[in-house]
Amino acid sequence: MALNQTNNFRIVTPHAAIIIWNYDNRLGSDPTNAGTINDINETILSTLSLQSIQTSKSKSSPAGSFTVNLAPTRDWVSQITAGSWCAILMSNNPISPTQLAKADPKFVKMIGKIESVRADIQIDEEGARHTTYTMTGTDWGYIFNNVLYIDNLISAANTPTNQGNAIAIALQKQLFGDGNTPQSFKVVDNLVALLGIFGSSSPELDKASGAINRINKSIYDFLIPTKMAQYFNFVDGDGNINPSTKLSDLLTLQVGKLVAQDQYADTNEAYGFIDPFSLQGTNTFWQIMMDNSNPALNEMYNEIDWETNNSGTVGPSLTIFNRIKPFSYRTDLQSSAAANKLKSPFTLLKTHVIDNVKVTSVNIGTNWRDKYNFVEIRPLFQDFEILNGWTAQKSQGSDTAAFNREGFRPMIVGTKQFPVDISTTSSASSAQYNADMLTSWVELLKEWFFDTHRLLNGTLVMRGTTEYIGVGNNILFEAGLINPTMNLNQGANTNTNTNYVLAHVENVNHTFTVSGDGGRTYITTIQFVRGLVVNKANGNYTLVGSGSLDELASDLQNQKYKNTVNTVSTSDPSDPDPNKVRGQ
Amino acid sequence: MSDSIVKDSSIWTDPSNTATLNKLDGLIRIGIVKSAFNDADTGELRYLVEIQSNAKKINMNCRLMRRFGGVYNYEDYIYQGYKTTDAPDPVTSFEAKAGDAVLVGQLNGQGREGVILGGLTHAARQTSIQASDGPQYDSEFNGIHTNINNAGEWTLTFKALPTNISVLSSTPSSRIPAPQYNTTVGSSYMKFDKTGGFIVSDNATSDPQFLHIDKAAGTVTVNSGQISLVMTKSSQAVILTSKALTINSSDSIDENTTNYHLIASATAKFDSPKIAIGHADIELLDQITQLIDAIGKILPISPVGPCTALNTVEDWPDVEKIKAKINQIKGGL
Repeated sequence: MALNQTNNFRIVTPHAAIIIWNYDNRLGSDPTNAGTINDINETILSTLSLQSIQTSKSKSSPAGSFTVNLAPTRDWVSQITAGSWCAILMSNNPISPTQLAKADPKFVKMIGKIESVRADIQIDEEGARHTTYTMTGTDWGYIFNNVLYIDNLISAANTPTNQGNAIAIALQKQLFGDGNTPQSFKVVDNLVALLGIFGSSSPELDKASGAINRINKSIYDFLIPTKMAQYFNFVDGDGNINPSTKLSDLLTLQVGKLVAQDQYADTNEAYGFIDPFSLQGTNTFWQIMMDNSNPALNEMYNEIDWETNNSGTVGPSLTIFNRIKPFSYRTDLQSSAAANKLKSPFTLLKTHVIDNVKVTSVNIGTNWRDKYNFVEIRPLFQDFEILNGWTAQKSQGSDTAAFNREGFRPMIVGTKQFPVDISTTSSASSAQYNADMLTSWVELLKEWFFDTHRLLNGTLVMRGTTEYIGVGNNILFEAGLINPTMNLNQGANTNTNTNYVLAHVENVNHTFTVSGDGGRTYITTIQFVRGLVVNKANGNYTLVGSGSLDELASDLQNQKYKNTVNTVSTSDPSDPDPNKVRGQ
Repeated sequence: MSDSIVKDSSIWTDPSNTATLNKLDGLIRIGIVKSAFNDADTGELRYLVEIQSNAKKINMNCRLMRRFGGVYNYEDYIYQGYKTTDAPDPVTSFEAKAGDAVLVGQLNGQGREGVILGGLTHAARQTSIQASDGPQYDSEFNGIHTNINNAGEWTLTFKALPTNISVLSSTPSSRIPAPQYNTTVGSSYMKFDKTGGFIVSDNATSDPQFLHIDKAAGTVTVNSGQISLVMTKSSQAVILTSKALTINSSDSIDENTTNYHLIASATAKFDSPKIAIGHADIELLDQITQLIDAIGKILPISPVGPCTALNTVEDWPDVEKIKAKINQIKGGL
């Protein structure tokens, strides 16, 4: 889909490979020799064996997935150990030993965990035997789908039973403090405490371990093979290359609001409690994290965030985002000072610029069902002091005029966290519950969800991307890909610069196919939401017009909404000019 | 809706992600109180309760349900905790843990905070009343025992704190023994009996002291050992029995009766600056002084003829001295 004749075609040969750190020990009911369980054999699958690769990553789910079809060059069922880690590489650049030795964001598209390898044998009418192997799995986010099970009495094998579970005690401290008085903690502190369960340090965990003379680590951890760690050179939260083989050491928590392009600052917008009953083996780690994330204002998802580390090289950071929803875009809203302190501008999200030439199709449009006209924030707990101030006037917002046309379209948001005065959140002990902050929360929710029907969602298909495009980031593509007259809104029609669509990445799928004659196809499909029309200048994005579709459809006059660039027409009986019909 | 529409995950949330957030837990569970404390901010009573859930032990912060929730009308009481550390208890048996056994519900169905709905039978306590005896009430708190038996008799007994109460604050080790009491101090009681009578007694093992209102007999008996005061409603009789009786009244004592009978087997004394004995306008001491005056005027007749009056004799002043002393203590009726 080329806009520029000089770039009308480009010959590209895509490449793909999969590195499998194949576990030698398959584990079982027999006692496992702990010293050998992480022994691996590194296996590299090239396009000689790969028939197709499909990866899928969605913002709405912690774990992505992949499906790989393999040619029957080996008995892959017995060759590949289910549960092994892998790196899936797809790129338009050639894959050389360099890329197989060190992770490169231009090649790695997924960090996977193999779940199943299956053989499918079909016999055709002529008796020929067609064998295909299919390898499926999830991405690294599967660790969050593990059920969390913490019991005061569980301790590791061979440890004295008169010693408590340090994790349980640490969480108890997190709940009650030293004086057994219920403690409320910043959202980020609670999340850090929960992440500490996976072995990361936390102040309360340190304290608890000191009290009972136990090592402050969880009993069980997710270990990755050493060679895998060496390949990826993961970047931790401090920007350092972390050689650890424990995934817990490698997780980075990114919180707060956007304050500059792809830069965040903590907002400390809410405090809450961890529910001790949620940690007893009936909820996944992701669900528990969500429970403590203040989902009224924050969005939580996980993604590989390729970051420049302190050594100046780029490496993957396994990041959990729990950020203020970065959906603020309207510049014409007169928001309160408190709401402004919480706003996270949409235009500051990490943005991937899409090369027009690579795009093969765009499907774009609106969704009226995305629109709400009423929001309410409800506390999912009881407390006299809090409920006293939690009034409907503060926790509700509506567009009553829209009720008559749309019906009642409520967004009821439950929260177990309560708002605190932003100015008092520099430390945990000084935070003050402030019900008035609900008003600013409602302001934000109205901004985020009352105009969504005027934002663009759709699917962009392109020849495979070399750049790693993460869900939760933005993409930028020329609005001309949609409509050469660029008449998405009134501003776009008069804008003398290039109009772009800045949209939020919801899902990313990659498909790599090797045909029977050896031809390779690599396609990336990006599903996006909240598309806006913007100008691009010096890396900054400014809204064109209102950014979204105009509030009034009549703002676009008839000659503007005609696709006049590619359509040559005059008013005739089959397509009359409305103004002429009206006698104007 | 067209398949081409891409749904915004901030709007079309995956329900599995928010399953915990939206989960409500309406179960009530048993628990054991580990400690009681006043909330650092509000001063309100709070409890750390170890909840038993699916064989797990989950510490939970709890409030306490009371019968009253008024500003002026309230009820506060503090449960018994037990000695714990961050390490698991040395024994798992509940009969070794002194914390109160309680039933706990979760406020708003969330495990963030619980409410103690009431107590349960502690594993180390033996029930002392029998169901076969019919409806009864039996309770004890810090040595105050309250019982309503199947006859509807209400008894409140002061047992005093158990003498072995220190076992409740010891590290759990074995079954907590039954409470032991010092009956020399304790066992005082008060009781409404089935006849409508009421008794308050120190229940001493010897010479008990008590007040007994016997509704059926129409008597009130106050005993202090051998001292007894019995009032009989029908005869309006009062019988006071004691070894010594001392009545002190700073201003006056009035005794009114028809017949007054006083027997002193050894001595009887009446000491007062003014004394009046008699009736109406006849007072004994007054009559005596008048008698002296009258005698003083008598002219004795001697064989030689009439003499002078007796009050002219040389020794008459001695009589006047006696008369003056009688006048000194003479009172009026």
